Amino acid sequence: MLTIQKIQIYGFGKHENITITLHEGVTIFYGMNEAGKTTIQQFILQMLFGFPTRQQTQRKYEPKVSTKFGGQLTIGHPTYGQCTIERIKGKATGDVTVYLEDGTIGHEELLAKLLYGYSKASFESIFSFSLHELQGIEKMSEEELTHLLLASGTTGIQQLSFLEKKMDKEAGELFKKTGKVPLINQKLEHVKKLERTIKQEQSTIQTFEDKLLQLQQLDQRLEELYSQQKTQQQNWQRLTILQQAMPLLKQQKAFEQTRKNYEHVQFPPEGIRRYEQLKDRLLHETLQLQQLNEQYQELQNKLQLTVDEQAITDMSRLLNREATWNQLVVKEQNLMDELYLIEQEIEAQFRLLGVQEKTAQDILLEETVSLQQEEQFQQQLSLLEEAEEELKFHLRSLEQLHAELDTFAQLKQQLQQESLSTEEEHILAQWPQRKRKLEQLRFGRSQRSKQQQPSIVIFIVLAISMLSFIYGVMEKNMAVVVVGAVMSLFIILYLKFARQAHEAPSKQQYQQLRELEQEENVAQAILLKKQKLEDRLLHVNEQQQEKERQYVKLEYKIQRAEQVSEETTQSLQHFLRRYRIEGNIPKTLLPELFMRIRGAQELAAKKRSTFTLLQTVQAEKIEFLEQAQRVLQAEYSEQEIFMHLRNTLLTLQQEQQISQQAKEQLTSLQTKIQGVQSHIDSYESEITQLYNAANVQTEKAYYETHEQFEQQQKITTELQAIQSQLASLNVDNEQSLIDDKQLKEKLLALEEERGATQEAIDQCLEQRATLQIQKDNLLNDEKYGQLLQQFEEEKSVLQQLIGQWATKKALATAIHETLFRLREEKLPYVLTEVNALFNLLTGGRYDKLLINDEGYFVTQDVSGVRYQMAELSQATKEQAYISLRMALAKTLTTSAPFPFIMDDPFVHFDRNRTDKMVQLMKEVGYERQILYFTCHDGMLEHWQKDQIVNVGALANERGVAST
Amino acid sequence: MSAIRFFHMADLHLDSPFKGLFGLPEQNFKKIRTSTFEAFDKIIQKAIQEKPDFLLIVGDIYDGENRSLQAQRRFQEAMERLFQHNIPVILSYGNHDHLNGAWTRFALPSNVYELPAETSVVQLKIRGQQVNIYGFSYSDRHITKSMIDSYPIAQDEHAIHIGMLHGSEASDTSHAVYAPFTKDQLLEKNYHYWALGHIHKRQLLHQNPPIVYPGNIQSRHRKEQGIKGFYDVTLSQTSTDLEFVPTSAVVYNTVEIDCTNVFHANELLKKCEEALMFNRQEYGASVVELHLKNIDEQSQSLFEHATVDAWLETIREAEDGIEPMCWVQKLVLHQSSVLYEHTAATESVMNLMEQWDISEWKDILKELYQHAGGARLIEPLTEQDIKNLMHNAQELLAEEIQRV
Repeated sequence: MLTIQKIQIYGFGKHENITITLHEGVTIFYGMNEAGKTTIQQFILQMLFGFPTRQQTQRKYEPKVSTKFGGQLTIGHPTYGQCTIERIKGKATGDVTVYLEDGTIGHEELLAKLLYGYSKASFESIFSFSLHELQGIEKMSEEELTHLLLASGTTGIQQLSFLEKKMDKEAGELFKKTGKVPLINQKLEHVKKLERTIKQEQSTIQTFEDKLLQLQQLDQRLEELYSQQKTQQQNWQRLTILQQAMPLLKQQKAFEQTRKNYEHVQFPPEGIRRYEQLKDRLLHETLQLQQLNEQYQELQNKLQLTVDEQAITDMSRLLNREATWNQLVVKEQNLMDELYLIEQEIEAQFRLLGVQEKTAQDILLEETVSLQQEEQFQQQLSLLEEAEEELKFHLRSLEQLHAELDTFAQLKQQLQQESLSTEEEHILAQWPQRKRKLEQLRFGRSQRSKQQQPSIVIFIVLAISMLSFIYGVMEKNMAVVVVGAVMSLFIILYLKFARQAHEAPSKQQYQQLRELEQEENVAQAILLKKQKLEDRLLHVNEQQQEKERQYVKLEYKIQRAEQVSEETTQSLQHFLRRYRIEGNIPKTLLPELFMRIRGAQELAAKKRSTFTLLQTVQAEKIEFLEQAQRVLQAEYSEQEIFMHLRNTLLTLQQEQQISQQAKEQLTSLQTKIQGVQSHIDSYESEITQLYNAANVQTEKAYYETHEQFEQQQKITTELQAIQSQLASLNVDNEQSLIDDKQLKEKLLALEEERGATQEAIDQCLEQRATLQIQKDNLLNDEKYGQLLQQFEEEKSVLQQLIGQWATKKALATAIHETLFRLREEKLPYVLTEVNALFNLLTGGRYDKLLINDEGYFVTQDVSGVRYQMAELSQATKEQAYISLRMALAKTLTTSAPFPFIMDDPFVHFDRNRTDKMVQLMKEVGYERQILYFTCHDGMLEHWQKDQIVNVGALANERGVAST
Repeated sequence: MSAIRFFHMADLHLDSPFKGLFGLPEQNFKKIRTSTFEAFDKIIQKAIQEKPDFLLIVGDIYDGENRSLQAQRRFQEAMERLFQHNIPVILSYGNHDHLNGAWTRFALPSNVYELPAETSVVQLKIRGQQVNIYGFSYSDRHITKSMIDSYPIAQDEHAIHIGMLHGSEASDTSHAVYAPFTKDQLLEKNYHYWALGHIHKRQLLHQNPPIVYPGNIQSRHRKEQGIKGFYDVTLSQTSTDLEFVPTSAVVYNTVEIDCTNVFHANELLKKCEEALMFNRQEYGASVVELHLKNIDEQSQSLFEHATVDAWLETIREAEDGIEPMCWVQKLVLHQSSVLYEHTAATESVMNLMEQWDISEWKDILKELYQHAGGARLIEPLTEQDIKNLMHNAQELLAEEIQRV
């Protein structure tokens, strides 16, 4: 028996520093409302099982005023003896310390041991109850009440039974043995279906091999069919060929038949051609022979005619000289032309010479024109020219003199213009005075400086130049004149300057001297000029005179020259007159004139010689002509003669040739005739041979034989052609001897066979294609893999569902079994106890509390009548409940010897029943401590004072234990 | 003697479905579905680029009867490509694609050596180096007897000896035991390299000589977490160099989120997004189990008004459409303390459940597990399942009892 011996509160709810010492058995905690009864009750519970955590809904009794929270419980434990449990504020459930009798100190785990592993809830469900639980009974359904009763003392059973139901339901939703709707059933079906699909798919896959096999078989079959088709094709071809060959074969047969008829016929090769050729030739030769004979006759006749040989010789001789003849003719013509030309020319010459009359001409022609004459003429001509030349020269000189004279006149005039001016004359007049003065000065000066006089050389040069000038003028040499003049002028100027330079001034004297000297210079210059002018004038005059003399001389010379010219002309004309040339002939033509005359004479000579030549030629011609005429024995004109001659000769010659040829021909004809004859003989013999070869005598027979032979040949060739065709067609002669109809039938049958084969092939191909596609599809199909995956997925889901179901099922079963055990094992024992207690509490009115067939509690009164719980009064129900608890506790006496903690559960009891209750409590109190909390003083009278704790007084008497 | 280089891979399980996923959007579904191909393509790509001397595929190319034609076709095409690049492939068939299967077999090109049911040797000459590769293919679905005795002990000391074995170590019972062997048995053979297959978890059983499970190339359910791939092995008489090459197109991963001091929904969402973003950067496309840790009284309230499923939905919505995909497969809450105080009644319920043995559990659940139609489709109950189930039931009780 586990007893609480002392309660020591440090601070809990309204209580603070309270110590309550308890006895074994029953202790009544009495107090009015708000006295703190429940606080003490909770204190005990919380000390044992911990302060409520935040999540728990129970009230927390942490003191509002005091800082202390917690307390101690001293308990007497059947195993551990007296122990103290202290719990103070700390972690959520409080810090607990357990002190054992032997000094061991422990914590939660030790406490759990002390409490037999009971949790607060289990403890409360059995050992702690209040009116609340009892009051609820009324509202509970029958079933619940049953559970409650069943589980009284094991709270949570009702939850458990609820849970069981829930789990059952949920498990049922997941799976039912026979159901279709629950998830697992559905899933199972689904998975099965999937499996079936997979199986199906698998079987499809299994067909893969079949298909492969089938494909192979098909290939094989196809190959067979193809070979069959090939054979058929060959057969067909063979038959077709046969069909084609059929007419040939027939023909062949026919020909062979015919050939037999002509077998004996013989004929030489190319018989006809040879024969006809021979015949042809023979005919030809015969004709030729005839012809030749005729010709021969003709020629013989021709040869009778003769030809005059002599005439031919003459004529040919003459003809040979035809060239000469022609030459003569041409020559004659030429000469005549020449003659005419010469006459023309002579005429022209005379016309040129102006000689018209015939006599004069003749005379002119007689005149000598020798070189001597010509020389003479030339001399006279040159004389005349010379005279004229001289005359011309003199005239030119005269003209020049005229010009010179003009120049002089001009010069003179110029000089006069240049004569001294009046001023100069004046200076010159004064000069002598000044000259004296100057000489005085000069004297003075010459003492100071021996002045060099202008060198004599210069003066000499001056003189020379002067002279040269003069000479120039004299000699009319202008160059010399100019040089002389310029030189002298230079020298004069030089002298002038030199003199000026030498004027040496000396102050006044010098000044004067200079002036004087200047004057002197001027005077001297003027003087010099005057002198010079005079000289020049003199000189010019002299020259003029000279020129005038020359002029006179020239005029004389001219006169003489003119005279000579006249004479010469005279003689020349005289000379010309000798040649009958009259009139004035220009001088230039004169030299040619002579030549003309000479030309005319020459031409006259030529004319004479030509004329003689012409005469000779003409004579020859006539002779020639006569000869020809003689030969021709006919008169022909000059022009025709040779033509006739030629023609006649040609005719004669031709005749001669023809007869010659005829002779030759005759000889050749004779040989030819012989040849032809021999040919004819040979041909005839050959023909006979041919006849022999063909075994005939006549031509007709020969031809007939030939025709027969031809026929035979033709047949043979055709047979050969047919045979070769047949050979090329590869027809077997022997076996192909079937008739047309059979062949056609055969072909038809074969055609059908071929059609069938083709159809079979097509079918096979189609099948193969289909199979191939199916096979490929199978190969590439992911469906199977996907199905497998899906299957696995579904299985997983299923497994999960099964897990859920199994969990729920297990839980439900466990709950069910627990409850069942309670009912089946604990209940009978509990029920016995309950009956006793219930009987006691009800004062024997009710006898039994039992469980009916449906598993519900029912009561049975002493008379055996059974009542359902709901039919009972409130108090009876409560009594039943209490009975249950008590009985339950009784069964747990050793395994859970905890005290009962009751919170005023008997308020509904009447006195009688309360007495009974008290009696029971007292009985129980021997086995188990009871802490009874009440606010009803009615209860107090049943208990002794030391069993009562006045809670209300506790607050006042702190730390004082009730006694 | 020159070193040889080869790729060692196993358990391709091409086109095999992913287990335990549902509710994926279309594009994620697709990505997941093609992930085995994608992973395999990566290998082939690398092989073509880097031209190893040969490839070893140690069993389970396909996933048993469920193999799709497409898987086989793609495998064949890959082999053709390798053929074009003159890369030999030595492959053995495992329990999933044993030789006895009735399925269609695709003819593989001549560069592929398919090991027969009897243990045999493939001899290659690589740059003058003799390489002997021993192995066998599963003749049946189940080969439970040890095959190791059929492997010859290496004799030729100039050659490089490689053993291919699809099976499990005798002590490892986590997988179905096939062709069991012990490490010592393998070492006795004196091979230079043991290329193992069958176990999907990458393991190096022994360092020298290497005994290697490369793991599968792409994880296919939540138990196969982390990056998957194959080994790029360079081997000579004296040295070995193993390089793990990741191939996973989709990575399974667990992401933990510390929920301390999380008050508001936004904060939690943000934390989730950050964690997932990090995961995405780290692993690319992935399927994630999101664990919320350290949920205290404050954060607990976040889950009082919205169920875990609602939260999962919200997180998925936030992640939807972001590339590469990061599919949150599951959201797990780790509550720091059990908040519910059990009563005697609930406790007795819980005690009861704990007292149940397996047969009792099975009896309880027989209703479903004996269901005629469904039984085949339901995973059989294991002890672990029952434990989980009990745990879940207890949690459910605690959760539900408070709501009643």
